[in-house]
Amino acid sequence: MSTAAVSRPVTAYPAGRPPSLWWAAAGWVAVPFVAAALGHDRFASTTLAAAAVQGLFAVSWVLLAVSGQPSLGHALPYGAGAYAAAFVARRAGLHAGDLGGLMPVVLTVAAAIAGGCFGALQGRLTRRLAPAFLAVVTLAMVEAGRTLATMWMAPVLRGGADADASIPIVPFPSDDRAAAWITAAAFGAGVLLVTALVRSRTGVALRAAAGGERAAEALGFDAPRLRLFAFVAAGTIAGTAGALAAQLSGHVSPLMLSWQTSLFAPAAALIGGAATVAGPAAAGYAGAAVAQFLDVPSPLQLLVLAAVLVAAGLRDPQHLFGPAFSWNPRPRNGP
Amino acid sequence: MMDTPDRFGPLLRLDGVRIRADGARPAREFTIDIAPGEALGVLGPRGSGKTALLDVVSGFLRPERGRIALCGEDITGWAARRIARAGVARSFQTPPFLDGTMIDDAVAAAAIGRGLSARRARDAVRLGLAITGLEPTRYRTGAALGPAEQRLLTLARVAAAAPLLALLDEPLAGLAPEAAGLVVATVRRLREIGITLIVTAHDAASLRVVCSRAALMRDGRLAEAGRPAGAPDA
Repeated sequence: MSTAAVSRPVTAYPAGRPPSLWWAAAGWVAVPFVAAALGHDRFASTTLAAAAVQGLFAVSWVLLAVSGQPSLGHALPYGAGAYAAAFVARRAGLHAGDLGGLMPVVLTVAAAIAGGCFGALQGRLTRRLAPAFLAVVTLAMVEAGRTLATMWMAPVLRGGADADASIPIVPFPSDDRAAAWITAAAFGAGVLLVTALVRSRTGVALRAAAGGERAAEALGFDAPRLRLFAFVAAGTIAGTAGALAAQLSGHVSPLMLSWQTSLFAPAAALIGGAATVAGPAAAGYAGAAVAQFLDVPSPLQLLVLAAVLVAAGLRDPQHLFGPAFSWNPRPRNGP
Repeated sequence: MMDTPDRFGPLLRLDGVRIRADGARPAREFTIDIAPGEALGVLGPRGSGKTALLDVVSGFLRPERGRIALCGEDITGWAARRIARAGVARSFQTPPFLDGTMIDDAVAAAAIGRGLSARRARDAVRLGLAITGLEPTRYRTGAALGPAEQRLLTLARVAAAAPLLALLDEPLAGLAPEAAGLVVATVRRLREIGITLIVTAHDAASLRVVCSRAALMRDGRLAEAGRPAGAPDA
């Protein structure tokens, strides 16, 4: 068939391939390394390390955005990773320098596994839910997790029932500059991994699953399994971020399972653009760096995150998370 | 993936396929053969069971009894995704929500879902975009498309899936005449490249230029209505 004979569509748009995701991703892989090289004092190194960890957490949420799952409970795998690291360190009686310096790696792997498991739990329980219900259920799950962490985990892990629910964990690493470099590497690896996934055939399938379960099944995809995969992958990365955050601060607390932590990732996606990888990574990294640099109190941070969500909701009431979410087509105007 | 259809046998055979009555809707029964390369138009008023026919063939409805065979293989009771991978493409009355998805990716999803290799998928996407005239929009997102282009996008996905059989549910519903003309021309091109079609519609006029054969849904049964006046050759 001759393509010349093909009719033009009703509306014509300029052709042109958009800029590759890889360039933007590569840029955001470089930024933390440059910043780590420039930051010489302890305060700068700590700030940059915290920013890289939060950037990693934010970028993990992109996989949920791509698959059309606006989870508001992403702090669950993040906190689960942190608690898993603390649990393993305590049960194994590990101290700084144990396992030939590989202890942080062991703890981070344990955290990634725990994050993946809790992501799987969230995905399993929400696999048939429409986005709005999924958001509510995941938020309820993270609140349940925070309550359990406050009521149960602290006494179990600390061997007592004291009021302080935070649990100490061996700090990692003791050198602040090394921490900035290692977290920059983790952030960079996370951005590249998520970019590779989003650009792969699996990424195309995840976006098809976001378009609706029947439509995805009619294309030959197992939509519930794809959504579960997105939760597991996002949870694994978030769990890794949680372990790094815990080892940087030297303790694990139920705050890691708070609303504030949960809302951070979608807010970063809203600011940076839910359909991109570099956008949420940049917003998460910069937002956390500013909060750390200015020492913004937690209630004020929560207020800012809530304001971002409200502003996004007012801008587009039917699609709070922009184009990435809706399993229910909206009516269109025009011919 | 299923073999190429036997030249002398039906591509699709529905043999006494019965769908259980559901609430206000009566039971439906379908018996029909579709030959390779044929375009069957299914007419009937809203609620007559046209979509139920497509649902049962594509695996979204499980028949109470009867047998569905594709290229001679019994596909009764198969899951929808397995039937899709076997070569049955499906479009819905309401196009899927693809506002945040690049057109190129949306079309590629059909080829990937069918299980095509990377190289064949690239060719399939090129074909789908060429057939529908959506090439200039390939790097835009679904949000940039109007209603007619949304329909064309679903047809581009059908073409990219390289199916043996395509089930098109009311592809012209709600479209203005100019837009409907574009969609009709695209459906004809699907047939020209050898895809067997089942197309549903409310009125015969819209199917006349597309379908080689028509059937009428009446009282929950499929009745042959012959060849529409002005229909193209089978």
